[in-house]
Amino acid sequence: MHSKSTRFLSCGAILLLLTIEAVGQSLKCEKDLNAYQDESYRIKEVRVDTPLQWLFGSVEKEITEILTDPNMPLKKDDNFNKETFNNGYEFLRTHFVPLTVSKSERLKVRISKPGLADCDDQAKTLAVVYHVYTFSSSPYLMRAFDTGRKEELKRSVVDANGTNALANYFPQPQIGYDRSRAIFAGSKVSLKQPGTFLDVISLTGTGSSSSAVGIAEASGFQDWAVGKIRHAEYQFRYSYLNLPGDNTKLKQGLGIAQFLASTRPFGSWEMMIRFGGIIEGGNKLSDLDPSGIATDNLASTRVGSVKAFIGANLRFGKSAQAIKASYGLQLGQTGEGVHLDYTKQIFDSAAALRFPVGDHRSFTADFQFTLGSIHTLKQLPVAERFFGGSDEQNFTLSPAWVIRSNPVIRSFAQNRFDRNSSNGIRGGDRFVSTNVTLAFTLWRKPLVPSEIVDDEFNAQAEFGLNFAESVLKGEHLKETPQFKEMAKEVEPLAKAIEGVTAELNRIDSSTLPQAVRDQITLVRGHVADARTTADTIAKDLKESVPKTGDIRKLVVGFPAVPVDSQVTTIVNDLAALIAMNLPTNQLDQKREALEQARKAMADSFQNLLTSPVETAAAAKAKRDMAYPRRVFSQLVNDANIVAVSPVAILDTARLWQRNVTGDKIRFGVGPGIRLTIVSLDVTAAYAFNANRQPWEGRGAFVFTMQASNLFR
Amino acid sequence: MATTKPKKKKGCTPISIEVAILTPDDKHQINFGLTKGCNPDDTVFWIIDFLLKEQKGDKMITRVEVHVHVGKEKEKDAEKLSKTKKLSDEAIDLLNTLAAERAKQLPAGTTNDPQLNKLVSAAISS
Repeated sequence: MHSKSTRFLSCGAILLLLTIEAVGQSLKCEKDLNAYQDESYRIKEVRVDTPLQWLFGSVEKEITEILTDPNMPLKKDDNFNKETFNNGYEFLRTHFVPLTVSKSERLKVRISKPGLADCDDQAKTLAVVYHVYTFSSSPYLMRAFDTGRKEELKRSVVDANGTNALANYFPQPQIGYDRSRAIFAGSKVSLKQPGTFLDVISLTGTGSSSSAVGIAEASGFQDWAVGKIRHAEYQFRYSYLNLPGDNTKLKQGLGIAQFLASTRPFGSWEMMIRFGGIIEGGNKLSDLDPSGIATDNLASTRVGSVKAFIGANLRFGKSAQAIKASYGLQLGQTGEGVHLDYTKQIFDSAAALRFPVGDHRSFTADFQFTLGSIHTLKQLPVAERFFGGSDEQNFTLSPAWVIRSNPVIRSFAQNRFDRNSSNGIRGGDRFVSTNVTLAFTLWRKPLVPSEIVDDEFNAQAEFGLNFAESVLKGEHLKETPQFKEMAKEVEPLAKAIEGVTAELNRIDSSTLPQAVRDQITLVRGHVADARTTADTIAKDLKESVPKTGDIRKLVVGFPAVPVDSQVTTIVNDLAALIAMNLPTNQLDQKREALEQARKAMADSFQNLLTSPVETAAAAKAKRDMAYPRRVFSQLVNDANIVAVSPVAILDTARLWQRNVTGDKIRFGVGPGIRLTIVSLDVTAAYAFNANRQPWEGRGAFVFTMQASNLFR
Repeated sequence: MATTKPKKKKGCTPISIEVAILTPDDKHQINFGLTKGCNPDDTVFWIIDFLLKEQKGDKMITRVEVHVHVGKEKEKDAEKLSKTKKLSDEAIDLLNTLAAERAKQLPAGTTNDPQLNKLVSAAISS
């Protein structure tokens, strides 16, 4: 579940956070605002509390600029005053950048509320804190078991121009340690160009005295809000890897192209099915002595292969326990030409379970079970064999879909779990591995302070999410055949409007009294308005879908304003016209026909709004919002901005090598500590090799960074 | 939603929610905000923010942006809305049609239009 690409260490940030925590023991403010005003408390600080602003310099800068703006009503060192406190909040609120959504972040919610902190009754000082929380939902990434990891970091930060720039250009220093690689360091630079064929271009390079990794990658994606397939992505990568094992070097230079797609979530468990494929070609090399490899294995060779994979992930229960399972098949060849030399099959499954056990505390249990098998028909590159250890290898290219393809046992350094005898051949033909990680929140600081989460806060949040759900319901309703059928009633209505126009043309004459002619002009104006709306509906019906608002405007009206429907206005105008002294005409029949057509369409519309079709659209919108609602609730009620948890790890792994006996189960057992920063878990542990063989080490240090299971 | 419910202090505390949603056809972005503000005497006032963007080419263009202080006569409706936690379908249609059309007719830079205010305020009582 950890990979080299995610091993960047934000030591400075973490230390900063811990320092802030150490000195940040706040004093409670339990009095009324009036009391602090009456007792002339001095404002010793004005700050904005938005998660992770310290991590994003641009957000910090933007917030500082607002707070130090000369027009900001509330200032440090002023005496506390309720009016300026409220005005300061209003000033801040109106200076935030409006929320912007995109195909990959279709919903955003921002909730803000001012408060007081650090009230010192002795010194008569206090701090004014403006709490601002932003939440956004990506239908694919946030549902995927393996998230894009660092994407989550940005989500809870307040939107600012700088954050957007950061999202498009994201340099990440990377540093890590592994016994095989020793200390390695490097950098990853991502350049995002949203909306283009290649949305992201990234370059990664890390190295150490014994290893080197270089990856150049370009990728694009497409998300859809409707239909069975909701997400598709493609990636092109060239990778150079030079990674050491136990007295071994495994090298490869590969060109790879990948496509994958994901369905919409199905059912109450939100099951999402994913599938994809890879074509790759290049070289796989090792420096193994021929005596250390099987007879039908090649130490160094040209390779080419195709891979296909399918998997599903789902969520169940109140705490959204997450489960995934994936299967991958690889057909490979060595050398030139097109022929099948070997097949590889992988089955990987995992569960991320979380049990709340108190206010912002939880017990988490992560399980993973992986199987792998290679069948050699002719020849097999040694580097394709299974090399186990603390680092996982991903069968896919996507960090959002990890299919583990090697035995992970954290008591071994990278690639060092590779044989069953002291001088035997390297790499396995089959393996099975299980991993268990248990953790309990010992100390935490809630992301959203409990004291601001009152009924009013919850009501506002609920209001926002309900608004989004109502919009979605309307959109889903518009997509139904029944809605389109109802909208077709605009045709007889348009004819009835034409009938009125024709009759007006027939009776209109310069000999009519001026009052009558004025009334005819008034009717003509309203007829033109109605015709424009009817034409818009008819056009939308042909090209896409009409708007519910246009139908209301045309035939139902808005009683709340109140505003009559456009057709009702014409009908009333005609009634007034008919009451005037007119020559013989058919206006009354035309008026009746128009009212009948209006009533028919209005009734169809209203009936649709109380029909099972509307219920189904509402249910669909509810399903769409189930995940954002749950994650929002978890952010508010469960998430911690920082938490510390003791960790226990228990791994087992077994490697089989053809014609070699001694395939004993190895164990990795040990304690550790986890630092959680919102949705990112940083775990440090030591795993002992409990069934150690003479040629193996005592154990290995473990250091991982991964997305917390809170949002999986 | 919350697991903890702190004691509510006397008086008025401002709070604001803003929601932005991209419609499933990917062609419209709707932002809606409801803000409870506080007067010095602890009475409440309400602000409604409404933003409608429409796709033109490969860009989202702002069609409507309104910020309306709810009049005294509608304050009870705003408070009720905050409690019922739901804007009606009619209200959403009203914002998307009549209010949007009125806003488009106004000269750029108009900050206060009684008719637009009436339409947006009506949304909270429908």
